[in-house]
Amino acid sequence: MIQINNLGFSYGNVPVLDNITMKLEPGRIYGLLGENGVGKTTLLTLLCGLKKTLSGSIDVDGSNPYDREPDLLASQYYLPDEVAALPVKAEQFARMEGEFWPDYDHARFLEIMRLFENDPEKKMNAMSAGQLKKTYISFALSLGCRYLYLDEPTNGLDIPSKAQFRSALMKYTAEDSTIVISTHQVRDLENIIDPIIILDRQDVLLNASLDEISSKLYFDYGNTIHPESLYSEQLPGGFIQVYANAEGIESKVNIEALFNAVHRNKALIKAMFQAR
Amino acid sequence: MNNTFSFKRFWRFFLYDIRRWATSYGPSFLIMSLMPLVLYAITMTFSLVFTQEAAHPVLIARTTVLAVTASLLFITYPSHVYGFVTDKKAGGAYLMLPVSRLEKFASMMLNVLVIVPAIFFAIYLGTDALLCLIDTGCGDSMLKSAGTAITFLSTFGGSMEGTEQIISFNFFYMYLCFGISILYFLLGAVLFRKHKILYPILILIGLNMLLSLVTGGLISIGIFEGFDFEKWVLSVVNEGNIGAMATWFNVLSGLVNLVAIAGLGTAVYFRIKTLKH
Repeated sequence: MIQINNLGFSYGNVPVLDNITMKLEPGRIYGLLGENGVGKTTLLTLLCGLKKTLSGSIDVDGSNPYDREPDLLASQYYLPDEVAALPVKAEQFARMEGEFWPDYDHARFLEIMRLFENDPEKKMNAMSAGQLKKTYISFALSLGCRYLYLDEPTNGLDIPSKAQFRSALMKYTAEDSTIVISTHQVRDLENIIDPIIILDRQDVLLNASLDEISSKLYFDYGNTIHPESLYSEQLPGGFIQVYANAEGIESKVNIEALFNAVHRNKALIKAMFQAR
Repeated sequence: MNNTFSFKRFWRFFLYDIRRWATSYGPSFLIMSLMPLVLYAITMTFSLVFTQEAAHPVLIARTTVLAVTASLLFITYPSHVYGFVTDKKAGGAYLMLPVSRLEKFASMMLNVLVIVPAIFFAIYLGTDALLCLIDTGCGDSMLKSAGTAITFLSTFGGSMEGTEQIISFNFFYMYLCFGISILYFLLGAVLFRKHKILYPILILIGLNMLLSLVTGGLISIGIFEGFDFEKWVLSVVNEGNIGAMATWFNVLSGLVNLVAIAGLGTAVYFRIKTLKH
């Protein structure tokens, strides 16, 4: 389990994260959303130990990730947005690196590469950005890690590959894994991320499961604007709008609409979800 | 498994580290190591063109090229082999490999201080020996001459007028000096994100200038006034202590060099330990 307590971080004099407290539980795929520059990547790099917290603490199964203990490193993998194009074949890269993770499955790597229609015999520095990303995604999903931190994993993927990614993520990760996905492409991951964490500048606006969200907010695909609509957007044939779920009716959460509603009504939404 | 140091994990990582730098730096490294072949080909070609006779690179020319190649290699290879750690993409992946910091550091030290120089000299001197075996006009191979040089340095005996004591030379001192140079440029490679060779050279120049200024200043204020160095040396010689003085010099310089190596090594370790991306 990951416990974050009063986490603070800044780049020089520019604060990015301030007093963040949250618990990330096993068996969940967290969607980490936020505007550009709010600290999504920073949070991921702090979670995996690439950066050191300036205040507060992060505890991952009793260890501080910044200590970079091999046991903890072997239970996690961080996939950055921009990956290195190495002068080796993909298959060779996976074989060389994978031996450091005890649960790495090379056959699974090749299987996922086949699913992505990606050639494992191709040199990584000769691959396109999308092919390279697919190679690293294949590698990440074949490690059998307890903790996966993915930063914009669908960036650069073509449309079929996005569906393949969703399918591979559900199929090849253990049920007790904790996966944190930072993304702007919410539509790519809408059906798999739950709970949703929305970061704002030095704040967490929302950290709730889809069930909690749909119990407090109603997502209406009607033709008329609700007078207490927190956010509305015209779609072909009507509107998508978000308003408080006073009657407790279930609805399908539209993550993009949720994000916009949260950003336009920060204090209100934050209070709504804090009062539990 | 031990989170600080595991021999099994270290060995696995050490082999991985060698494969990694051999893949990225191997071709350039091989070209430099095969310089005797390049020199032979160039000498032969130019001599045939300009003199219509086949000339062989003589020992002194081959030794000079070795000195230049080795110097260039030893300045540049730390940044080629480990400079990537400051890169956000490749360096981040390196930090996240499930290997302890101590194991990564130990592999780094072994590679820069032992493996890379050993492979370089083995290929370089082996190539030269092979060429001299094929073309006996080369004269002695550098490998044979290197053996003579090592024997000469190890048993170097000098004496000063008034004494028959032998001053022995510490060959290990040379390796320590080499180690200091390598670690200095390794520190530059892992410390600076850009200009990994230029900045250490500029810092070295700056430090030397500073030292010169300080020493010049001390001399100008008369701190060494009254101390007659020649008189002191003669008094030591006359007392017959020159052998002991040389021994003390060897021991002291060795210790100073070991402290310098330990200091540079510690700096590299802490840089790897605290590196962030």
